[in-house]
Amino acid sequence: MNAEAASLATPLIALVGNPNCGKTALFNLLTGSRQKVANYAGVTVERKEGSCYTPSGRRVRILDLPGAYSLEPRTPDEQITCDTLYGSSHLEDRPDFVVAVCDANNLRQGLRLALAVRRLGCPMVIVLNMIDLARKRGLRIDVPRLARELGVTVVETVATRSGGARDLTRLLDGIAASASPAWRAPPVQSPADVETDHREVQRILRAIGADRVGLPESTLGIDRVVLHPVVGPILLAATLFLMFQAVFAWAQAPMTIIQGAVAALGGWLTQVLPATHMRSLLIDGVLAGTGSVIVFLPQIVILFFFILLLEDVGYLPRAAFMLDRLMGGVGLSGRSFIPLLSSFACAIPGIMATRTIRDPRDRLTTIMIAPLMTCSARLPVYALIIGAFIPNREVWGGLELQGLVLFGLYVLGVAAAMLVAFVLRLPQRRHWHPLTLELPAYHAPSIRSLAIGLWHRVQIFLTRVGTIILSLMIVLWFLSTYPAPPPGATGPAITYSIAGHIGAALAVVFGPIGFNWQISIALVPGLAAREVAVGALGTVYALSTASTDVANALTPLIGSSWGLPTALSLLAWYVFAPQCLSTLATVKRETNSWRYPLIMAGYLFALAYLASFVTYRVALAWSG
Amino acid sequence: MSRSDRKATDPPESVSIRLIDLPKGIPARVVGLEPPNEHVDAGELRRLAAIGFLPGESVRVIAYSPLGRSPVAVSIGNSMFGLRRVEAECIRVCREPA
Repeated sequence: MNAEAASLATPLIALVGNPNCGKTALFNLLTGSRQKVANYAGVTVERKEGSCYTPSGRRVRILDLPGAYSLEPRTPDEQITCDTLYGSSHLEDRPDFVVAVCDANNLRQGLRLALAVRRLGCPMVIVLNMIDLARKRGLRIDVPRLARELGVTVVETVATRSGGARDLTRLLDGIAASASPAWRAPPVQSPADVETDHREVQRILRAIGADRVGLPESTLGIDRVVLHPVVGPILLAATLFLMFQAVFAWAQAPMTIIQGAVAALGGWLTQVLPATHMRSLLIDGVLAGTGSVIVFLPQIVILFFFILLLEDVGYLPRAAFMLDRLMGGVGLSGRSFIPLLSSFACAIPGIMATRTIRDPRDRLTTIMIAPLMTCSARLPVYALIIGAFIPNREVWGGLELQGLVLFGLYVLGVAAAMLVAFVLRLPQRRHWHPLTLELPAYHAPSIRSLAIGLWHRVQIFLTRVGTIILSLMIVLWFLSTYPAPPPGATGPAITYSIAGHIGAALAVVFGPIGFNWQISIALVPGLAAREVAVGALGTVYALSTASTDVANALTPLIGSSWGLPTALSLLAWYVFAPQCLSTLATVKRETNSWRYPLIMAGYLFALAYLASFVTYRVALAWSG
Repeated sequence: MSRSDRKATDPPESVSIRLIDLPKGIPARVVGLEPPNEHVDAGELRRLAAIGFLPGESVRVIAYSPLGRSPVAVSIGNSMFGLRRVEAECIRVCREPA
């Protein structure tokens, strides 16, 4: 690509800073939508690069290095930052210029890192970010004096306001004009000594009169409520309850619209296209399949909106803090909370978020139980079965039975996860390792970062629908359609197809847990992505009945053809079954070994089969 | 860091207490870190220093976990961290004169 070749000539600017210093917001402000987010080869650290145009129109590349507290790495993230700055990374070019981002409200931490960076001898500027919040608190930072003491240019930014980085971009203009090649030689590395830097920071803070600054009063005030031993947990429970309530309530309207649109498109295609195999492929395969998945986009967007929002304002680390003791009881730590919460949307971002867990055993346990959190892909299956088999009536106090069953399935998943974690950690249960969880100062959310974060999630989801799910639906349609039934055949066409034969074979395995051959077929493509199972059931029943409007007809159809024990058994199966190849692939990538995905698939299948077997047999005995 | 590494300027043991024993809301200053133990190794101690548990920094207990004394939320310098008991036992502090 020409742009790639040209980028070698454009200067590379690295952003370095503590976690929570607003570095990513600054990156988003500088680069806007011109971002490339990928992974470093071989390691599970996110690499974010973007480009930025300076006021005079020159292009610079901006690299958002992972947040670090010091240049003595303790995590793979910090290792990348460190190696890149030292120029010893084989993954990253050495940057031409370093922007050391400090939270103006937390100069102690920020300047310690900035001093360590300064020792590397690279051309740099120090940015005082969130300067607006500092001013609001009444902090007066003598910037010229600070620059004199440090011997480094210092500029102020407000990353959450458009135009808030004008001073910085003007400065980058000069850099772009005269990228100095002088700094290519490895620098003299004086031994890093945090205590020396600490004394220097104390001296500088005294010199600029900022040595008596503590935490913002607002944060301390909010924490008197949020971290209160009684009010805090109640607030947390209420927040989580509201969040899940919103996922279901707010998503209703957009989901109905999407469903309507898919149905209308299907109807229109039925009218305009001749009744050929092609039409069947388009409507029964592609549209029924992808449509049943895309309908969950609103729920995913809402759940991630809350997760990103709570993270941005600083609440999620507090939730992790409050839950640490509870999760420690099963051998996890509060740090596992955020990945597990994300897993309610989808296990893949959840598993990727475990990178923030420093202890490797904690991280592995969290990865292993992440698929037990009820991800949104299970919702279509749950919704279908509950809609067909659980009567829609009120039980005590206006609670709906259907909603209650759904809630029960969520609880079952969490309880199973805790149990599995407990068993996995039995050998080392008495060991409490360090937590060191930063509880950052509260601040108003950045709309821009929120929007960019949400957009990334939507992109990931739609890419999945457009690639894996779409291609599977097409493959399934072929398997279910060919070979065509012989002339004079009496049974449904699908029983003569390849899928019919696979289903018949699988039904032998799944028979003891009450699954018929239609379910058994649907489980096969469901391996790639759980939500596909509903589309697959749609396709299977579409091709095995005369009806064309299957999406709406599926509920009464399964209601009349399955017994309640089968339905309950399928629900139990879905609580545990590892039916998502992308999750297993993610685990393989994150653990760098086939061992853990195989163990995960094995234990989840065993649990699923056991749970379904028990459920089916008990339900059979119960009903008669 | 071994015990012999501790500086001669450290105040006597009787003045400094472990952070875990510091009552909530009482302003104090960090004196130094304990030597590594079975729960917290030298690397973790360097990490505690890197995030700001350094001699002279002001420290205060903000809140405890709803289920006991671990983890504990402490303000250190301009930041706040959640520490488990094992970490808070490694940090020696002395109360600020009232």
